[in-house]
Amino acid sequence: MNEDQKFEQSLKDLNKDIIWNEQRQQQIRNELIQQMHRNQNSKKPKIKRKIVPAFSIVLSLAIVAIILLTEFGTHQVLDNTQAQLNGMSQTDVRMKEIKEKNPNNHHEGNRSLTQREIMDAIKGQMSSQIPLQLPKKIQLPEGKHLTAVTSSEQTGYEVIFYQHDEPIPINNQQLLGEDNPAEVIARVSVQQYDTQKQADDAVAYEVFDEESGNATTLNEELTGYKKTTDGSTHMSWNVGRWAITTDGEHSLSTEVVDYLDNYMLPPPRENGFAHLSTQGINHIVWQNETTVYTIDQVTDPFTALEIAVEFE
Amino acid sequence: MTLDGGKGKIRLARSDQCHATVIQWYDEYSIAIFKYILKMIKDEQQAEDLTQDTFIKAYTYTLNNRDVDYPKTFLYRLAHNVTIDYIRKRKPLRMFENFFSYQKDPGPSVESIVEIRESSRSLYDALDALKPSYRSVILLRDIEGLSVRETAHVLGWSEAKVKSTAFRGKKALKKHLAKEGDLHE
Repeated sequence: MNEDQKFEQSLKDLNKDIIWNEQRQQQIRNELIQQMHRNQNSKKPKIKRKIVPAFSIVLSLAIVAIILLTEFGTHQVLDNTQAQLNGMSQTDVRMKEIKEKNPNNHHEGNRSLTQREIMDAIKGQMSSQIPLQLPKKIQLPEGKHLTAVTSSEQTGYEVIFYQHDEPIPINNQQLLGEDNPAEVIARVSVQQYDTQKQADDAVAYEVFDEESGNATTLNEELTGYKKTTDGSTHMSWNVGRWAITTDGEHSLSTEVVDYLDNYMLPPPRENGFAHLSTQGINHIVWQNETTVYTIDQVTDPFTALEIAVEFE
Repeated sequence: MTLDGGKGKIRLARSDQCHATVIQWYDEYSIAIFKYILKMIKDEQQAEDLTQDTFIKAYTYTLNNRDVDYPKTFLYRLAHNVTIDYIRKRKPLRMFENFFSYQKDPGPSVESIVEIRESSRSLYDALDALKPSYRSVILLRDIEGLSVRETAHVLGWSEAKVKSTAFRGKKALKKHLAKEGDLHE
């Protein structure tokens, strides 16, 4: 048995050599049962869980609306309140405001929002202590409309971009259900870590060299390293402060190199890593010190690259 | 029977069903989940707590009427997430918090929670020297025996990233073992 085989065998044997005390396993099982019972018993009745909070929200909204009407009584507030009474969400109201500000920009009779305005509306749905940055635009096929689902917290935010034949308001209920008719384009997430090391680990930047595979010339300045594992081939190279890995069709690496001759990925501080694949799973991650930007859930490698290139 | 009483019974039946499912999963997968967490954090007591958290999260998930097609990868994914959250939140101050705060009875002494045979001790220690992304992918692929696709699902990575990171992780692990003199011909 050679050294590599011994190494692989020792990995396989590791679990056999770790033994968890049976009594402890049983004790954790008992604690789990007790905690599940506690969780079950501590469930509040429906009236407390749903009706009281819902009533409180409605009451608070009504009080705020009355105060606003009393204090300002502006046309805009009246419009917004009326719109909300008519069942429009905050996003719909914001879209309406944007449309009214740009009455001359029409498309086929009905004004279509520019992508910039949609991105602004998406940002309006989020709240975070870190600056809200998104791609300036996302290329869509003819006739498709952009929409999104957002979530945010103090140290990060996430936007899932969708496309659909009909316009759907941002964060609309349709997008949250199992019968969501829209198609995912990509997910953009931004997370601020506590330390530089955590951010570095999230990017997992690599420097490629001869140990990474067989050296292959990609162009006059770039050398890639080709490696075949488990029947699939990867090409990996570094350009600037980016590491790039492609798999699937061999031509992908050449096309990516050509694309990046003409378009520039965001300049990371310190690094970025793009994993691109024709197999449908792509992942681009980069950092600005402790803030890490990620693009994933995107099937086409060039869509992923375009979103990264267009990032603010 | 009142309508509310009926709904209450249905809710209770659902909750009992979830309860039974999670206990069945515990009996089948708890050892594997515990060992995965232990190798990620190298802290026996904390690994037990995070194992329990994993199954509580599974219970909450199923209680919300959500189906689980593949319990194994689902549980590994939950375990991975609670472990990474723990690693991120772990601070030096924790030591002082533990010192001053109430601690539950750990039961048997720490030494008896887990037994690690000497033949694997160096590998167990060497894994701890790797960065978490390398460690998690090696554990899932080469030790727990998950496929590339399953590992990608657990870690939320692309399959390409799983393959490339596993390759580099094993290279780093071999290098570390060689440095420590534990990888011989």
